[in-house]
Amino acid sequence: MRCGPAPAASGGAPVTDLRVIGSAEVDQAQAWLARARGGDDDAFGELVRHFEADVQRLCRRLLGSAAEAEDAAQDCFLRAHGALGRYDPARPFRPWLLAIAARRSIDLLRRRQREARIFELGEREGESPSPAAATPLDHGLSAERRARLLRAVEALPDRYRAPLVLRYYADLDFAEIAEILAVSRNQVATLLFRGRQRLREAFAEERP
Amino acid sequence: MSCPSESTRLLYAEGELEAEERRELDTHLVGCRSCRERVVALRDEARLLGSVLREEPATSPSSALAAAAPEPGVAYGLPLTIAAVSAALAAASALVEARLPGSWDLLHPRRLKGATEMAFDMIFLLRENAPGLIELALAVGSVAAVSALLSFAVSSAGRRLLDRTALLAAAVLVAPLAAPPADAFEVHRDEELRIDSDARVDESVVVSADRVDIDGVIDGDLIAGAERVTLRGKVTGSLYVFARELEISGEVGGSVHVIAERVRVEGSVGGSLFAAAEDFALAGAGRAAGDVNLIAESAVLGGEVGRDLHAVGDRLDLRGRVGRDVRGFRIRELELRDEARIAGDVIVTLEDEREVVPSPGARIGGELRAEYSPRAHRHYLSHYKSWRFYLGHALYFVAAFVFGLVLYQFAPQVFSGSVVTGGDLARTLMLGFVALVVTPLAIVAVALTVVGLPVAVSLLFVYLASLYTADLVVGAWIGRLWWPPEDDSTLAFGKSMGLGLGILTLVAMVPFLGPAVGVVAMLAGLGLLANQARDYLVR
Repeated sequence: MRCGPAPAASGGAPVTDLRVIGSAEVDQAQAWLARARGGDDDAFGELVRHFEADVQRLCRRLLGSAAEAEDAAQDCFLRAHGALGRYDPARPFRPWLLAIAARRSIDLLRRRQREARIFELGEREGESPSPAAATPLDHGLSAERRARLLRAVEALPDRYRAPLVLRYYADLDFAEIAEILAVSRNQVATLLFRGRQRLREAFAEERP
Repeated sequence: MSCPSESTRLLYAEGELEAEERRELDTHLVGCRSCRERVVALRDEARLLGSVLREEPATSPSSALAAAAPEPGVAYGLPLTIAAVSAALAAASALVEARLPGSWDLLHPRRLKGATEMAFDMIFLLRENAPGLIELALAVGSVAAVSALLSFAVSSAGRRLLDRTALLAAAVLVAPLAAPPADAFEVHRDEELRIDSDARVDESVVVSADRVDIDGVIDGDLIAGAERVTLRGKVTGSLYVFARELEISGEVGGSVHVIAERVRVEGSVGGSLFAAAEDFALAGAGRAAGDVNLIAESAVLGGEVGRDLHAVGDRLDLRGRVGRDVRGFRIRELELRDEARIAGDVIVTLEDEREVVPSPGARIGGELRAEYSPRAHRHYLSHYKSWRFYLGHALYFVAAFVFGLVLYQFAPQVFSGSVVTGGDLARTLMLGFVALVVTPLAIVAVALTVVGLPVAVSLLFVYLASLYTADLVVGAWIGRLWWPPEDDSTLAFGKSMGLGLGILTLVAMVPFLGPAVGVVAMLAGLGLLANQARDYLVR
């Protein structure tokens, strides 16, 4: 499913590697995966149950609507089931699965926009960021401010929200995001860069 | 090596830099403390984003914005704000129904007194005292508006060839511009326009001046914006006038359309007469062959009206001939003098309940009937007894619903606006209020420049359409709250919007509260539309 060489990810610690599942669970998931690839539909059902919430949350972060997210997630598992034969067991399963969900969700986003080129950079993009955009956000935010940050992410336009979610929720690398969004790697970088600037601005404005 | 750019540091922090560049930066970081701190901060931010995105989404599943529902304090803000605004408006409306004390009359929304004068004063004062500035501003404004519309139309047609909305909007906006006005009429922009009694102009005249005196003949229409317009000669076409004072002692072949403070007609009008004025007089020698339609504080009808007379206003003084019926609305004072000759009926809706006693010499061919305005305080609830009231609302609902479905086919995004917090609502209402008040002013300003007339017509069209659509947008939003459409189909949207619009229509029928909710809904709808328009143009 992947295309393009995976870029060397050794520029320091892998920053977004926040595991939601512990290692024992990973082993369990690997076992299910192996059985599912052998044609065991019950094992695939276990996988679905295991990753359902994760996939649904990704879709919801991308699409906004819970109903659409549920559909997209179901669709994702259907496609994953069909594509299991092409899955390379040497690679982690979660990003592979999330990439399928992301593709499906981005398709839906595009359809909703009635404008295929959501993620391409337009000419009106040369806005100068405010000073607030220059300061990265602190890690130690209170629960209330974290909720506000999440709201700010959700309020971002699709073009900025989608790359952010794909990168920091689905842990996909730039090449994979570029492929899903049908843009260049450089544009992924630019979208992420601007998305983060916008978030900082939005967050600074909201600060009491 | 100098410090790398912010985007390079981001790529580095993300582990997405190519090997060679990465090595260079590794070396740089060893010696540069600020870059090192920056990279750490960027990674912290990335980690923060990752963990925040993994947090449980808010409970409400209906939409992205609803999913982003804020802390409870703010969530209560919406119903509280709606309640507060509705209560304030209901109180104001009840107060108005109960009659304000005399000195508060200026605040009465249905009394023109003062308001028109103020508007005229402001426009003409600006015109007199800062002519250069105003002309310049209006010229720049209209040129900018025309170019903006054109470029928007061209670019949207180019960029979104398949986008029906853009094409529709472009067509609507460009259509009036396509009318070739350049050589079809003469445009004057002088201090004073005078057409002497022996002069004759063989085409329509469009003029913006302080004074307009027509003693000669204009073989075409006259469109004038001026302090004072006097017509002693002849205009074979129609008259369109925006002025402080209009006096017609000559002849108009077509109809007269006028907005002015004072209108006096001593001459003859071949067609109908439409006037909004503070004082209107059709003098003894004056004649209008068609209908006379008036909105005037005070109207004196001394001449002859060929067909019907319709009048809205405080004072109606009938002392001439009317070929058919007289219909008066919201009249406080009606006089039927000895000289009055009305061929048809006289039906007036009075503000106060009292007898109308015609002078003994007055002749009325049909019946004389005085009704009392259902708006009058003690009759406020009376229209709830009339089936017409319900039929009217039902018809409105059906028409609006059908219009909504059609609009959804062309521009579904019109309906996608929504409001989550009280703050949103306040901002939306404010925006709606600005749109409601500023747009007509802008239309008048653009129309005054004469070259801006097509733009003004487009704006007026868009404005009226928006006023109508406002309720629909709010209905669609309410529908989404209670019954979100299951998919993009028109059927699903129709069910949801129908529910919302139905609720809105029903609430609008509640006494006292209804009109207040109507106002809030209109403002909110306009605000949402303005928001959507901004998003659409910016995207």
